[in-house]
Amino acid sequence: MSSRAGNILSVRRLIRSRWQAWLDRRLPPQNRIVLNQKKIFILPSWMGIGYLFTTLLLFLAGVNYENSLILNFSFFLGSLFVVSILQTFSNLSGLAISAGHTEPAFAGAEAKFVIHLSKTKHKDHHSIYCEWHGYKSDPHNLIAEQETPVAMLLRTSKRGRYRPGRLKLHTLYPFGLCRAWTWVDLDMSTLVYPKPIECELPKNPTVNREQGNVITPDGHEDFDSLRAYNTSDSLKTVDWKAYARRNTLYSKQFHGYESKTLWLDWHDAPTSDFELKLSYICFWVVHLANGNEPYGVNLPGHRVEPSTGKQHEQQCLELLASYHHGR
Amino acid sequence: MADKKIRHTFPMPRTAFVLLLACVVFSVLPHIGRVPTWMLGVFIIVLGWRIQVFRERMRFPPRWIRLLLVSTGFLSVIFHHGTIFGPDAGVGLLITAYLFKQLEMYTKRDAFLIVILSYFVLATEFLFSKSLYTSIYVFLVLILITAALVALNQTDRTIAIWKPVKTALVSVLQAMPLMLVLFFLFPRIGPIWDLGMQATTNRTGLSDRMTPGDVAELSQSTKLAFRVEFEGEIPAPKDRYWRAVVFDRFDGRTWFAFDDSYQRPFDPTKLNVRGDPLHYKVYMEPTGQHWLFASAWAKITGIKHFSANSLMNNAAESIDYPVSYSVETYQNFDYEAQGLTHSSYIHYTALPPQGNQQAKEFAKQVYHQLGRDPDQLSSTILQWFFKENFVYTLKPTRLGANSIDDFLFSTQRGFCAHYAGAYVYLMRSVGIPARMVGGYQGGKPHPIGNYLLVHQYDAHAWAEYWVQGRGWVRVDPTAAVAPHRIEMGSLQDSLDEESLLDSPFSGLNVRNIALLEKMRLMADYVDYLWFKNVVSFNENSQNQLFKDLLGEVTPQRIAILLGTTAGSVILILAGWLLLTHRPVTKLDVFDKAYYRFIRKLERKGLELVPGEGPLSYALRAQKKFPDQADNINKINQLYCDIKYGCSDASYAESDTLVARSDKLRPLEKELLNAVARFKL
Repeated sequence: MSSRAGNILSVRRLIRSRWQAWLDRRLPPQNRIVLNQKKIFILPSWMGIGYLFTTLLLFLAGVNYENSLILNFSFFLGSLFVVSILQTFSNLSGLAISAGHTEPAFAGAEAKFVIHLSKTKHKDHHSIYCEWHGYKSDPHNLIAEQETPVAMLLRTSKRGRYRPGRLKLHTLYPFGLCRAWTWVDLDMSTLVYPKPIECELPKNPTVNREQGNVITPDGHEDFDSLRAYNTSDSLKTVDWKAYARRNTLYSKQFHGYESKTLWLDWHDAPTSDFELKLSYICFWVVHLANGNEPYGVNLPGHRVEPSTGKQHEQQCLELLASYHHGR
Repeated sequence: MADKKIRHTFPMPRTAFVLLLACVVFSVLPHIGRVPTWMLGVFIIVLGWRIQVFRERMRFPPRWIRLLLVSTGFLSVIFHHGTIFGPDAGVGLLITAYLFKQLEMYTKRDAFLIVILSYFVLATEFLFSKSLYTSIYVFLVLILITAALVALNQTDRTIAIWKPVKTALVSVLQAMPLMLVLFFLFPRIGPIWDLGMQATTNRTGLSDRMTPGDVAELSQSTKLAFRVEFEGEIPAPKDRYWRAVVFDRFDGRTWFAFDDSYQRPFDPTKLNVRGDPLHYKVYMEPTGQHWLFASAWAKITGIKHFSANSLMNNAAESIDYPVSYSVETYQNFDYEAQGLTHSSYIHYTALPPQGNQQAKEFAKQVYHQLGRDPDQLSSTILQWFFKENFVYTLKPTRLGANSIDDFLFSTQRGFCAHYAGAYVYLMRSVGIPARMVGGYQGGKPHPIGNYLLVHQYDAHAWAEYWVQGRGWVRVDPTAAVAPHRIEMGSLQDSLDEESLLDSPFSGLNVRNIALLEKMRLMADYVDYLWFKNVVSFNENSQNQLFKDLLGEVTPQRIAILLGTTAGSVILILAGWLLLTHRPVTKLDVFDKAYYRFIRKLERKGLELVPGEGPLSYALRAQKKFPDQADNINKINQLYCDIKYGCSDASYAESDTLVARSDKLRPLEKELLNAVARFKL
């Protein structure tokens, strides 16, 4: 029983991988794809099947009642179905899909993927739906405008580089009798940061001789006072003007500013689980990014020097997202 | 029992809703008569309710109310028609279900179902009428339904209502060529099974029994009964007798078309024909009966039927929709001239033993005086009708128990059935086989087409009697009534209402206006052509068409013919839909000219490399075709000047755009000419 189920599963997997391979050959990953005959699939929708059934009923009625006009009505419905195939097809063909920007997300949250639909021919495209990884977009129309962005929020699950696979575009316009669709691979991906998990901040502020708001002696930034020259002092600190006046060597004293800097260290995360550690550190980064104090990230083999600001935060998060053992 | 959860309807765009409502109304409109009258009020309420739901003023009724409504509707339709079989009841039920479905439009699927049902309801109209005007109406509603379908699939809510209508119209027109190919070339097959259609309406005109004594007023209708199309001359009015039914049994009050005529087949060995055959084609309107209209002895082709010994022709199916068939007949013929079988003789001389004694005695007396000569008796009766004070009227006096005696000796007022019936009675009284025939007499020749229009008011009854050596002889006793004693009741009072759909210019109030009469006849002519060429296109006509097109008709050839024509129609359509759209980057006249120039060079083997600009291409071209170097250079120079600004210094000084374009104009002409002249 279980082996049979396993067999079926493996057969399905085989079919799926074959299908994917065929798709990859037919629709290779590209940043901009213009839909043409080769890339569009089309089949009757359930409504179309109902419609064809009606057509068949009318055909039989026309034959049995020997009624030319009812027969012709069924021929008309059949012809309209053929027109519907062509029109639905034509509604997708000539549409260009290009990759837009992506926004990273924390694992479990939604990452924003933007694609652009645009016309390549002088015709309208109506009611185009995008589906991607379970996200179903609202229908989009390209009637007056040349191009429209479609933003999609895709639910992420794992930390790391996220490739949402193939995007499905489909349309039922104009009659809803046929569904034309395509699977495109826009070669888009985004980083997924670890899921932030709340945890106490590490209590080991390390001194950092850089800018800060706490005044520290022996800085280099602002002039503080003069004192007698020591032989260990650099000649650059000598106040030559004072020497000219008094013939004595004085050294200029400067003070610097420093901040309490936090090194977010791999070993401070209170767990032995690899992913959990990253999640804790991720939480710290997000938490500290709201303040003005510099922080740095220190992982075995990788570190991000302490700093503040959006860009810095992103740098830290990117490191966390792409960090692997022993690298 | 009511729905526990509130179901939300899918937010239908306003356009779709309006179109959907319109297609419901217009699909049902022609069928109005097929549901009980009180249901109409219910339907109006239903549609109003639906509108209120759309405006979010009301909710859909709970399920039990809907079920109650539908079942009440069904029961009343069944009660109304007295059956659940047949097209009327069937369509009635369909419409009931269709209309109450309006109160259950929650999802897009429900709305779609209504559209599909609309197509169905609309198509069933062809069961009842096949006229050109019905077809035009159906075509227009078809566009409307298709527009509703488009509107359902449109998601841009700002779109105006005419937009889906336009899309639908274009699509419907695109579907037409393929439809025509299928109509003419898709192999026609006979009925697959018998649907047991029992028409309950359309019984206009004749019926299979006649009780002249009970009729106080004969209503006559201007409805068309049938058309007769002739190959040659249209026969004279006196020969325009179209037999339908033979009344061969009398119970003292009512004449019946007895079933004997259905059971005994026509025997060709008893037939003798003389002279030339006459060919014509009959286009019949539905009667709900089986009999076919034709002259006395007619060979009918093109419809399944049974020819009976009484020379009646009965179609295998009741005529519930328009049919057509071809007839071959002879003006001169005799049937059963050599003698009747004993049972036939008994059958055609049978009279009820009691009642109408006076007429019997009268007939016997006259017969004896005339020396027992049937022909003499017949003409004497007719003369009697002429000389006595007999009046032809559509408003006869009701007759008593002895209706024949009453008519002949007291009231002496009646219409054709009184005269024919009394005549047959008198003949049978002395043992001469006779029968009454119901059918149509006359018909108006159409001014344009070579055909006769026979209306319901041409319905007529006459008689036939049998003579040894001559067979059956036709007699029209009504014709013997003196013309000045014919009281035409005002036709106006006795006309049936007619649907406006069937003939837009009908109606007696316009009969006197020449122009409108002309238009009416014109409309009828168009309708006749429609019937002749479209409605009557069946297996036979298709076989004829295949013979004309293919010579030898084999299934393979038919398949090839159908496949190639349908295939090419689809291909043309596909090409039009998929290839005709211009790319978004627009090419102007000069680009096109330059491309023509490139194509000329490419044909000589100089391919344009992707990404190559005009300059490098021109250089390569000059190397390859040194004799044309000047021309190539000139064209290239002109093109670059027009597209990218001028190398000539004088242009830089002309700083306004207008001045610049003035300077460019001669160059543009020059480029077009140069390309046109360019040859390799």
